Amino acid sequence: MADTITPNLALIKPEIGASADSWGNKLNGNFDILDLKSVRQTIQWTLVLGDDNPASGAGAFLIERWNNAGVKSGTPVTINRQTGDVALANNLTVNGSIFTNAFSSSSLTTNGGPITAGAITATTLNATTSITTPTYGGTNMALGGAISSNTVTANAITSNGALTVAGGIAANGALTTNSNVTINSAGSFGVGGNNRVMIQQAGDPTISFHSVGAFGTHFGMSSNGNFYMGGWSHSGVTYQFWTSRDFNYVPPSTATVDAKDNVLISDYVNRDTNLFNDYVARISTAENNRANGDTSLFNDYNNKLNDKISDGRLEYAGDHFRTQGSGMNEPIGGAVVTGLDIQAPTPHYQLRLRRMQLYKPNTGWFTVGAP
Amino acid sequence: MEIKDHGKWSMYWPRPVPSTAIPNAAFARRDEDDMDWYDYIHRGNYFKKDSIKVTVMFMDAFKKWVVLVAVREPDRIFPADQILLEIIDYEGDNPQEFFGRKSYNPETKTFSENKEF
Repeated sequence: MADTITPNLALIKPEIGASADSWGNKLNGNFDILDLKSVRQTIQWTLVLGDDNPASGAGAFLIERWNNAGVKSGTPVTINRQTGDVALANNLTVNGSIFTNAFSSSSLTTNGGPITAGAITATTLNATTSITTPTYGGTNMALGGAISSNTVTANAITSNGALTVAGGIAANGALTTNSNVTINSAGSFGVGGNNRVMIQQAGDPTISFHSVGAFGTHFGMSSNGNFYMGGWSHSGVTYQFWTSRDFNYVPPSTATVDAKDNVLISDYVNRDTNLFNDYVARISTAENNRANGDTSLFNDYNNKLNDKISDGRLEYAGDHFRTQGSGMNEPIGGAVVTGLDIQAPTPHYQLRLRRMQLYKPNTGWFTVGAP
Repeated sequence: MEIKDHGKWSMYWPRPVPSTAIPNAAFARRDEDDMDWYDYIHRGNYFKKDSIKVTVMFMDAFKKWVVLVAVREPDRIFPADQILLEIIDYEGDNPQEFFGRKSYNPETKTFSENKEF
């Protein structure tokens, strides 16, 4: 039987009873191979090369580290045997570029180089220069340079440079920028002189208003300095806003008118209030005096109040009979005729008379009729 | 029928007008004692409760005293130039309908059965 070779490390297995003059070299060669390829554990690191089971669903490649006390302190690197994904348990510092089709990390910080990735998912992404990715999903993003992405989803984006978005931006919180926002290269929205908000556009800077499904129109300033609204639902017609720039007329200040009205109104209100408060105070004083046994003021007020006429009536004063030609007279002085009946054959008149009476709570009913 | 005669009353004009009265009040007083009508009804107690107060006036057309008003509340009447009577025992519901336009004989203190007009 000739020498044989082990399948993995190609170690020489000498033929039994042979290699009398060569077994030593063969054995030393095997040791060299083992020394070269099979050092999988030191007192600081351990390599776990799967589970040696070809049908296993596990078998990950692990790099484990051991602390100074000889206790395993972590697995910095894990390679999934089934997917090939590499997971780093700790920070990854790359001084050069990273090229990846997909990137997922709890924190990604670049020290100057760009980030180019198929997709980025991170809790915190701090890039000092540019980021190029078709998709970004993360919690926070701080940019020192430009970001170019088809989709960015983040709870907060802070950019010190330009932020160019070809698609939509949906922000649940404040959108803060230290520079202008460029909109489809057609115009810009930013900060003008003296920190004024500025809408800038070649030609006629315009903003649009749209009541969805109902009406849409544009509002903006023409190059002639006048403001217009129109177009869209106005079927292309624009309407100019006319101001004191166009008319030599200055309307009176509404502030002045309002101020005068307010003075007058408040004056009357105060007068009414003062009068009312005065009455309330007087009544309160009278009631307090009465409670303390002095009823004079209360009676005085009560008498004045009850001395006013509070009711009236036309009371029945009787029916009267008059014959034709008996002459004019007033049978009941001060009464008024409220009913009349003329009867034949000898004409005579039947009159119904009533007197006006007025009522004073202090005394009672009085009949009106003094000459 | 029990009838109490409260006398003949006439119009008059007190000076000054009592402060308790309305400024343009008509005043009447009883001929026999100058009793003021408002003192009579506002401060006096000269009527029985629920009695009928009747005023009668002399009408030239009939040469008779004829009932003008018959009510229970004295403040509804003003008896100037009239005789004021009080019917004590009338129990009907409509004294005006019962007494109105009937003639009254002061001598016999009786009312006519029929109305004068």
